[in-house]
Amino acid sequence: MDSLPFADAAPDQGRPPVPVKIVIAGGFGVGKTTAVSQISEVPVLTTEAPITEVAAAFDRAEEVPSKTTTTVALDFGRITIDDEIKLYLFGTPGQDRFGFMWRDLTEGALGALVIVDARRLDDCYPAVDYFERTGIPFGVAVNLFDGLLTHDLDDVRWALAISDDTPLITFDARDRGSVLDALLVVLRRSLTMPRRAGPPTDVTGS
Amino acid sequence: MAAQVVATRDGLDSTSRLHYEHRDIVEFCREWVAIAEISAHVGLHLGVTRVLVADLIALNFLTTRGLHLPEDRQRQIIERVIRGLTAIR
Ligand SMILES: Nc1nc2c(ncn2[C@@H]2O[C@H](COP(=O)(O)OP(=O)(O)OP(=O)(O)O)[C@@H](O)[C@H]2O)c(=O)[nH]1
Ligand SMILES: [Mg+2]
Repeated sequence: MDSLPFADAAPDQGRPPVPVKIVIAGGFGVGKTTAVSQISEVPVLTTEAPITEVAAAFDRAEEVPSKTTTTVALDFGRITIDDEIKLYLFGTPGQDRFGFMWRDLTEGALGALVIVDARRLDDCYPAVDYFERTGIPFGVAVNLFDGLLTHDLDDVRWALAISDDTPLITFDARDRGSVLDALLVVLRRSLTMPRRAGPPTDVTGS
Repeated sequence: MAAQVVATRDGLDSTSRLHYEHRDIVEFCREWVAIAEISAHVGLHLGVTRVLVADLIALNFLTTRGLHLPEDRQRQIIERVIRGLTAIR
């Protein structure tokens, strides 16, 4: 779509805001929608469907007993940074079969936050693996559902094969400040990480 | 997906001739909006929305801007986003 020629916009819409985005990814029921809702200035636009209506592509629902809906499209939130920049937040679906959307979603993203449920590490592996491979700056946030970490963070890093340079933190998806802190971790990583889009980096370090 | 579109004058003048989703989309795009925002608003799958939006762009009823920024500009923008989020923290 980017290759299409620009046409003249109607005169009264003004300069477009600069859109930037951060992707919030993670496995089923890890708290993506909750996190986006805490910080979005607009009600989060989300497409939830009763779990029973979603094909039996996953049978994890019984592990999250109180959960009766799941995100089948994506969460969309927004934070106005200043009069020019709008930060968009995209929560991506938890089920593996929506993984095909990630490429589109992550294109041009400043970075990604992968949310992990410490009790179900396996669910989060596909997202971590995806971002490790694509070289998009990301951080991993372990959602402390029960308020305590049952694994050492180093164990989580090892189990999910998270590289040493990737920030790994704990957070509470229901806490606005905690979610903002997690985004800041991603953005700082984005600033320091060499970009793929630039000239190829010599990873051997000369 | 975060690429933004806005209705053109042509588009806004033509809404009475458009139908269903096409009309809903053009009317929703009076200001710059992200494609994902349209998807959620109109209640269509993102892939479907992209196709409809592409059609409307081809008709010159919508126009788009992507989100690829030059490297140094990108850096400056990340720094501004960091300041902005820190301020509302
Ligand atoms: N105790 C506790 N519950 C949480 C926390 N974060 C989310 N929840 C709950 O966990 C459930 C799942 O959270 P969601 O935000 O729907 O998870 P999701 O990642 O959007 O799930 P899908 O879109 O279905 O993949 C919800 O019932 C939340 O209220 C947390 O930090 N602590
Ligand atoms: Mg969700």
